[in-house]
Amino acid sequence: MSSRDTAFSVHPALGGLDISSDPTVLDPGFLTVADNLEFLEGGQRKKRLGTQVYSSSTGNAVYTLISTASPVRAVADFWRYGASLTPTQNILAVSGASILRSTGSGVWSTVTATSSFGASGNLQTMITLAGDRAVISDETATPIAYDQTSLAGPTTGSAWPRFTGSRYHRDRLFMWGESTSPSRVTYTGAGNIFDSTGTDSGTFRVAEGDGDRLMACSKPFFNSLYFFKGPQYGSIWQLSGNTSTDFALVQVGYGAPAVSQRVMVTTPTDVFWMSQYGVHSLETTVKFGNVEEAFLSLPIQKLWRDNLIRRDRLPEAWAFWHPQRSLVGWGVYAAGETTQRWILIYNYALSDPKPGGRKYWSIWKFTDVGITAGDTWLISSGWDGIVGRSQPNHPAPLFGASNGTVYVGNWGTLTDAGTAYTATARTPVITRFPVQGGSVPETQEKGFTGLVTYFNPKGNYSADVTLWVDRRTLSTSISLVGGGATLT
Amino acid sequence: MAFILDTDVLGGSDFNFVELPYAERGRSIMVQWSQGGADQDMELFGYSIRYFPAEVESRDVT
Repeated sequence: MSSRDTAFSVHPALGGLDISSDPTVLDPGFLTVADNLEFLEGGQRKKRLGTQVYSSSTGNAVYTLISTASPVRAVADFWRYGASLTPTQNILAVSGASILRSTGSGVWSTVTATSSFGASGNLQTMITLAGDRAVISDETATPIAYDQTSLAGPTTGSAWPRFTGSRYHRDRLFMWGESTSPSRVTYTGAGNIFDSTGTDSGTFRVAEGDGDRLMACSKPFFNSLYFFKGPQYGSIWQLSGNTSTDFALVQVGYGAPAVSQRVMVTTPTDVFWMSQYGVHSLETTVKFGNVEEAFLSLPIQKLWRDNLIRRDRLPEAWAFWHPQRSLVGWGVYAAGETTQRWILIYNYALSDPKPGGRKYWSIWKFTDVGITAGDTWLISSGWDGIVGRSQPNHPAPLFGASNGTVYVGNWGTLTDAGTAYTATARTPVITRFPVQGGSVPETQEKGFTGLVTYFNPKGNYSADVTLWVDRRTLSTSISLVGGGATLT
Repeated sequence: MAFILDTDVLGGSDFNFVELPYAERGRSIMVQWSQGGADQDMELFGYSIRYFPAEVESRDVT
């Protein structure tokens, strides 16, 4: 090695996917490809965890809820206390025209009569926990509540409207998405989610006739609900107040029209959603406005602008939150795809949500199935015993898939139900290199003599490395085995 | 602490970088790592590129 050699170190590498900037001027800490990666607390780029079929065995045979042609429309983790300090847990799913449940045994059973709930394939399906029940709605069917024993609805004379989505707030059920009144919210009396016509219940309209309809609502967030209108123009409305007599509605945001009720994620510190134009944070939007610079998705804005994701299928996008790994994600259709094989992943612990702040995005890509719904599941002790993890209540994403099967994410075996997937990290095109007292400019030649990769040894694995120097390519493999060689 | 030939490992878990030597000239470089093995992991901390300043005016076809 020449004594003139010097090293340009990007260690640690701090930055996520950025496909919107010119790759020749991008900070070398960012990535221009970040497939199937997650970012750990120090910014490390790690191959994402795998997925496993939720079933009564440890195998990965497809276990359809209804059929492979009936995508899973919704999934939910349903904990119920009733009149006991010991809760019971169900997993709920909607597939085809059926509502199903599992008690954690890996076995599904229908709780509705066959083909009796809603429209098969309608992904505008929502499950809300309210009043010790799970309220299931999709607007095409009469909404229904399930208490882990039986189905129930309001009695005659106080029937719910037929609504698309609901939230539980102040001991009341708030409902919206009515075909007869698209900007109306109906709320029940306090303490009774079935009382939608009594004296303590009511309705209000949110900017009716403004060219939009109510699309979505946050979960309770700092004592308020936030309603989102769309999908044309967009507006955000805060509902505050403790009782029905002092509810107050005020507009707090403009633009950023939500595309469906399923794209909302409410965490303890922020509300995230996907719009026609990108991904947004409520905190950032309220503070800095709905300017593109304030979009969380600015580094991946090319997905929307160049139609790299299917705009016509944005209403089928869905979101999930993974609290233990500090990420939120949105399932979308990649261009040309017929199902949602991509999940756009945002790490909110590492990212700076301010406009221009460093963001950590990656894209999880699935090859065998599309992911059509998701929720966070605290793994039940029953299934934990079946799979032998000894980690009950460990939070994991629960994914409903296009083949009618439910998968558990956060899986230590790094396959998608037995199928290998590829994690890829690619740097920007690095053109400017530092030297003492200045830099080697973009147009000057450099002699490249080596690449040093810093890694965390995870086992007897290797990585494929491809180097592009201008237009010439070198492909090889490097060992990711830790430790040194045995001295013989 | 004794070091036993043919048994002990020189390095250890702190030895967590690998160098790939090569020789190429050009104006720019881009690097990609990928790991596609079934149940095989990859966790990257960062990277360094060794280089030296070469001709101010390019002699190579890019």
